[in-house]
Amino acid sequence: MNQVFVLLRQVQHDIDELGLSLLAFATGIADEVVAVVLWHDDRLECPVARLRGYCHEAWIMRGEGLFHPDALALGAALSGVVPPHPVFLMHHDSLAMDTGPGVSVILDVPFVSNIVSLESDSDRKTRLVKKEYGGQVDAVYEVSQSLGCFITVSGAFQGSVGKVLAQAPRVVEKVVRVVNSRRCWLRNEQADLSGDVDLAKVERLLAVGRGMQEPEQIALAEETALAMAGAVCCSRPVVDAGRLGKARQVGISGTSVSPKIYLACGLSGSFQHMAGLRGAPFIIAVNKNPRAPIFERADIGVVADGAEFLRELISALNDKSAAVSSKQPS
Amino acid sequence: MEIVCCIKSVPNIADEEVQIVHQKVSVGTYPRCLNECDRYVLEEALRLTELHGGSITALTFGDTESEDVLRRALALGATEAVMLNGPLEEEPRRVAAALAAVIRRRHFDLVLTGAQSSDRQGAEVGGMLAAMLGVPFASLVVAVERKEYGVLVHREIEGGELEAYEVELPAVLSLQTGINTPRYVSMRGIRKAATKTITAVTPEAVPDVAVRLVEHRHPPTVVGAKMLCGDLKAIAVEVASMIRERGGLQ
Repeated sequence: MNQVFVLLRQVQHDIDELGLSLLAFATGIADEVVAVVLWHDDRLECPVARLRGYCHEAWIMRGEGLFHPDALALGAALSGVVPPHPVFLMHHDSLAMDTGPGVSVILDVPFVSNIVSLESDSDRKTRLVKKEYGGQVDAVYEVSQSLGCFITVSGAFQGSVGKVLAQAPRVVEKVVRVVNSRRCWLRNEQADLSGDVDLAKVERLLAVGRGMQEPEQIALAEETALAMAGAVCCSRPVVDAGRLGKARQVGISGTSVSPKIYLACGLSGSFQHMAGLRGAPFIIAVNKNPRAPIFERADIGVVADGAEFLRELISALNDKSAAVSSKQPS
Repeated sequence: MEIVCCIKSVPNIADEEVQIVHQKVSVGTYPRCLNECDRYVLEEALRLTELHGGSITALTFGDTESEDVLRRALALGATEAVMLNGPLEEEPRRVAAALAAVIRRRHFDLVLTGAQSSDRQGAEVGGMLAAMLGVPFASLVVAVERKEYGVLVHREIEGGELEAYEVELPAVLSLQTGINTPRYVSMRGIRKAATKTITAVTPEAVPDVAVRLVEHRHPPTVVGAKMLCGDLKAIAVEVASMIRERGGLQ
């Protein structure tokens, strides 16, 4: 590709790390990489220093309407400064979901969201792969590079790092006047994650998903967790169904955990859920679907109905003779 | 409030293995259902109109089987249902353009969409639609409150944190699951909905989009997990042993 723009944003007083990793990838696929940074602080030392080696040019975009911008404001700002049919990369986060689709309409370029891999070929076509149907399907899309594209990139993206650029980027400050149609008056209010158990401190977690969310299945999971001396946690659909509280949700929009054992039952293993697993837990996955994405990440896999498996597991965990024999040296 | 709900009929895959035939998901082999996020869309529209008055128009783009989701919307209490005929797997940009062509001809305060569809999972149509209509948009919305200036919305962002925005109307909001508790459809509602008329609209010609679906394929099998096979009881004994040893369980 000739030129790729990477859209980054300010997080606290720094540049978002995932945006930097996108820049590193872009240097391997484009002749010219331009970092477009939405920056609010007065001082520019931080972005200038952080972008060294990552891009040929850095545009520091500033302006009142770009503080928590909506698509109309961001689209207006970008359309005034980019050439026709630009190729944009942006990390698929809450800002990208808010603005990406609308900006693509305003810039009149195709839009592909949440991709996990990208390949360019000599025919000036780009192939983009994204996960669909709950991660069970890889959908391959093709776009013509000459038409540009706005691409949001998943946190699960797999792309090699390009070259580190020797020269410092040319820094251009672009002050834009755009109107933000929304007013952000409060941010970073923590959702109420308080509950009866602090999942972050639990060493043995039994996670249930959509396939184990019926009340009797959750009661079975609670009984098993008791036998494991652990606790039950869950993926988002279980909370949405009102079966467990928000405090039990693990994932991007829930709690991060770092147990020793993670027993996942009836849970597909979406990226959004697995992002909440920290450290190196020993993952045991039980799912009826042999193609469930959870089996890619798990250490041990069992293709079975979660409830049927837990009934057997309770018996096995409560078998004290087995507990003694498992401690005997072999 | 005049509310337009954009809803979608999707294949009901549930926990089944997705079948791919000739490099495309075999959509026709599955029963259909209302997209999960859209259950919350209809409930939120009902909640807002019960509080503040107004009407609900349910709008879908899809094939003839998609009519069921409009019947469901009518059974729940939607005032009107509009069907845009087209292929279920149409490109989001073309779907958004077709929806925008219908919506911009009517008076509306709010357009509600789901955060994403369970099949394509693109989270695209709502944002595109807002830009085409030239109105404000907020995604991942987990709370909506009517105010004098419009609506106050809370968005869910990373780490379980929330952002609050004042949004003037008209606007498009895409709603996250869990924003409310969707009600069940009553038998009386189903009987009433059966007699209501669904307005069929042929989409206006929209320009071609430059995104081409090349293929669907199963992800490459990654040898991550050691798969335990055989008698479930024996597997459970083995797993119990692992939990004791690796989990530090006495």
